[in-house]
Amino acid sequence: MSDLTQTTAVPKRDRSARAENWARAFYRFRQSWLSLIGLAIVVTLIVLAVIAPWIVPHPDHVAGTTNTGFRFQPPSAAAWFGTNELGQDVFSLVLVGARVSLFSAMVVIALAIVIGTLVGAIAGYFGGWIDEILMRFTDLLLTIPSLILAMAVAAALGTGVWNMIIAITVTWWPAYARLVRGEVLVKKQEQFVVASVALGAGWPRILGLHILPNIVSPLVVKASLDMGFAILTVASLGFVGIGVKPPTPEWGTLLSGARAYMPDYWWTAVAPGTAIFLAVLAFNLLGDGLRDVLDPKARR
Amino acid sequence: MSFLRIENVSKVFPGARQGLFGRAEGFRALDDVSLSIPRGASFGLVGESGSGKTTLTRCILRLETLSAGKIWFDGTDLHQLPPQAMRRLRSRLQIVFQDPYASLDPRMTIHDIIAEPMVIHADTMPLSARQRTERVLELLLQVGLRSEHLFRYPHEFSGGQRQRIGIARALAAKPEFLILDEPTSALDVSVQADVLNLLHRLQDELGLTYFFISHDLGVVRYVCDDVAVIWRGKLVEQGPVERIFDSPQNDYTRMLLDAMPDPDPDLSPFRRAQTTGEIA
Repeated sequence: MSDLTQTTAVPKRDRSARAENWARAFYRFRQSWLSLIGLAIVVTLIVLAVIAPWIVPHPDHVAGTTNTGFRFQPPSAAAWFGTNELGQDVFSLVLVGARVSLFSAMVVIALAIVIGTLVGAIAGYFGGWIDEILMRFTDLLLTIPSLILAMAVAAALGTGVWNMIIAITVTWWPAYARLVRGEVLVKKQEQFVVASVALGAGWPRILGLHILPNIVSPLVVKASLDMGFAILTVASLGFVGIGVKPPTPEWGTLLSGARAYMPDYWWTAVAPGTAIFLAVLAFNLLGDGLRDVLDPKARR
Repeated sequence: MSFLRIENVSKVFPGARQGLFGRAEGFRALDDVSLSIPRGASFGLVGESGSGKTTLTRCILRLETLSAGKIWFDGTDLHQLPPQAMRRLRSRLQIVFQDPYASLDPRMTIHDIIAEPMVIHADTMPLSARQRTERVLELLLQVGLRSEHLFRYPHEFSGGQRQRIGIARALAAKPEFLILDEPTSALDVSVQADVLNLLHRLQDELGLTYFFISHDLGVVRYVCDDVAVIWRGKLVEQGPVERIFDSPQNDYTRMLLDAMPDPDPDLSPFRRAQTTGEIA
């Protein structure tokens, strides 16, 4: 080791490897124009939702102002998606409605991932009776339909965005817990995990540093595929009237309000309906694209 | 005085549950195994797949519990040690795995992989981040890799290079005893020789004790001083390498040696008279 002294200068951290991985992943993602469209719509929707209150033509309508003189105007240059029964601009309502729909769906998914990962990782890693108890509880929750539970929660605690989010999350995290538990069981047997045990690493280190980072891919794929379904669930709850209270625009609520005026004033229903359709489709396309990138084996 | 002593170790894996209370008969992976390895030696363990070689290493590392027997490491009973003391002792007892593709975390850089033992054992190896990096670099050069490899990921390396990384990780814990679980069987023949020479050199430099597991008799003969032959969980024969190779006493050992390929085609087992058939 005599010649070491000349060469022991620590080299610069070489970022090229990671950058190259990203470039390769994006290349594979680009191979499917459907996933690119999905990504484009998702990004557009999120950007529009964030800046909606400042760009809509009639922010006052969103706040609840009515203009009954102009009720049920068909789509025109002045009101792109027409006006509703209160003379409000449907375009403004739908755009601002994206905020509640996307936000609640994202929070539901995020909470489901956090709770599901926690429960699933502990159950999978420790096994034995801890696993039994946690997973039987998870199975129990899986049997509850989310819509029915949301109605029960709304009846007990009243309607509202957060009550709705909690109700959906309660029935959603078990799916993530099962996924994570299965992945942890597999990774636990991997040799690099055994190596870490042999080195004397404690369980927080093994779980947090070796196992969880290696199961991110299936989680991301499931989350992006679930986003569409979460948006749909939020809209369904709005539609049956137990999601968001009417002055706040939300796609499901808008659709529900428009139901009474079909088919004569079709535009009041078409606009929020199209928004839901687009969002769900876009997230599913994006999810498929991500799956192709992160989990090439599952490719069609 | 032996460094590692295995005394009458048995390991029985429980059978499948049958009905409410019944169990199928268990599988006896290790049956009354005893061996003793002196400090600084290279001890070989030879046996076919499924003979219990890997189970024995897992028992030594206390990744499995013993059904019977004791394992003494430098005078301490490994399986009686409280968890904290065991955790500290693990740095002295390291392993290099067979499969260099599966034994490195794909999401960590080489630096983080090799530095991990020092982070885990920071209480006994107090090093600053800077000192750790320097030590990683030193280890990297010691196993024949270059400094520009420091921040790359495992998938960018060949099998032989990965095995070197695995060796560097094991050495980072400053072990005295190294279990080599078929360290060359997943590698090309030309790379095998490099890795074996590296292991040889490291043993001289660091005074390590090797427990070398293999099914490749040529490799064992090259590396080891003593050798034990394991068959279906039992040690059928053990002794100095020369004696086992030149005058094997056990039928199974003889069969293994006869199956050894020889570089000389005239000595090929296909031309030689079939000396042994099935043994049971």
